[in-house]
Amino acid sequence: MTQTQSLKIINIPSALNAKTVIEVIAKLNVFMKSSDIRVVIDFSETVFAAPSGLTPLLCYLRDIPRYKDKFRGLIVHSNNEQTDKLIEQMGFYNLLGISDNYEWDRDSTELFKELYCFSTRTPENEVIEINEKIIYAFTKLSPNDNYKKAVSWCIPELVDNARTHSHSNECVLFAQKHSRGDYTEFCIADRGVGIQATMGDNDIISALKRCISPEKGINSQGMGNGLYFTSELIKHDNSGPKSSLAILSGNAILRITSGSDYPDVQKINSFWNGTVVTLTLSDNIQSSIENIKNSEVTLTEDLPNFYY
Amino acid sequence: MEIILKETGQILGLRETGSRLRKLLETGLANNEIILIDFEGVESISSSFADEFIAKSFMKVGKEKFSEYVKIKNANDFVRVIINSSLSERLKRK
Repeated sequence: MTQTQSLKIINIPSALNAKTVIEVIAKLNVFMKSSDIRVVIDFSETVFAAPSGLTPLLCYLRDIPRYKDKFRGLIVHSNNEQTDKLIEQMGFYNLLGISDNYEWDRDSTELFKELYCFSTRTPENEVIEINEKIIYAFTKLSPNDNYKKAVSWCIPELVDNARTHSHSNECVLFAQKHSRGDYTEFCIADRGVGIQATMGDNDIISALKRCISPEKGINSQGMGNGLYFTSELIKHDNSGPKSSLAILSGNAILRITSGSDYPDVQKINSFWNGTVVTLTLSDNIQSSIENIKNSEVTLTEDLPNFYY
Repeated sequence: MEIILKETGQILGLRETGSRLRKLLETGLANNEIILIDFEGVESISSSFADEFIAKSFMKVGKEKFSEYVKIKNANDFVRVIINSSLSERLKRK
């Protein structure tokens, strides 16, 4: 296919989040299939960017140069100065290697090694550092023990899932505390094999449901605890509607919100190669990962007596 | 043999870390050494880490030998819950 110099403009919505990023992904998929090698990511109308929107977008944009030779990207900054500053502070432009002329390409993305990008090749000690930095940053001011333990347990589990099971060239992890609404959003995106391939199911809907079921995603590599217990934590949180778990993979998305027993699983009009997990935790989360795990401990007479 | 975990980190979450440490543990068990695992300074562990490091070794050698040769010290309550639940999971699947 001959590469063309025509420009593809992708407008980012005024609110970029887990729902609206799906439309953006659909447009990026069209761009990837075309012969165009230049894209403009237009944030001019964007006034709000959540990790659940920015993280998969960043993951995708960093991936493009691997597939399109002589690719060049251009950013149009948000007209809202505060929003643009926030996106910059999140490291979004740095991670694309954006230069002063607002352009990025294959060479510029490879120049930057950012703290929150990792892969199976990232040394173990660096990933441990990433986990600790993000956990300490988001728990140090919290008085809620449930929240601290939830973050300390869930984030390393989700990071290990992405690193071990995704077979992705790169994974991106972002987090943001929302000062209005008292919750924190964590998002991990990969461009790997996806949940269906990892679970070995015939379809994505059954794979998504199974990965948070008591059956879990047990395979030879692990016990499938990460997503299952994270979903249990959300289900048992009765503090309000703030906590949730969303898993986007392939052409479907699963969502579970606090206090609900059943997930909502839907097909989407787009396709994500890989998995995006968004965990939103209320500052006042009432469920305890410790209690949930403790309730799973049975056969105590078979446990070794080795603590002292 | 002593395995001092805070030398690795304060929050231990990776299977890779667990797998690496399990090799040390299994070497000690094969040599019938007493192995002291010191969790001082470790604030939290993931179930994946506990499963890879401790539960898999436990299932391999059995309760009797494991209890005799492996000692865990300075594990806080949360770490103990995660270890116990990982062991329990493996036992249920046996």
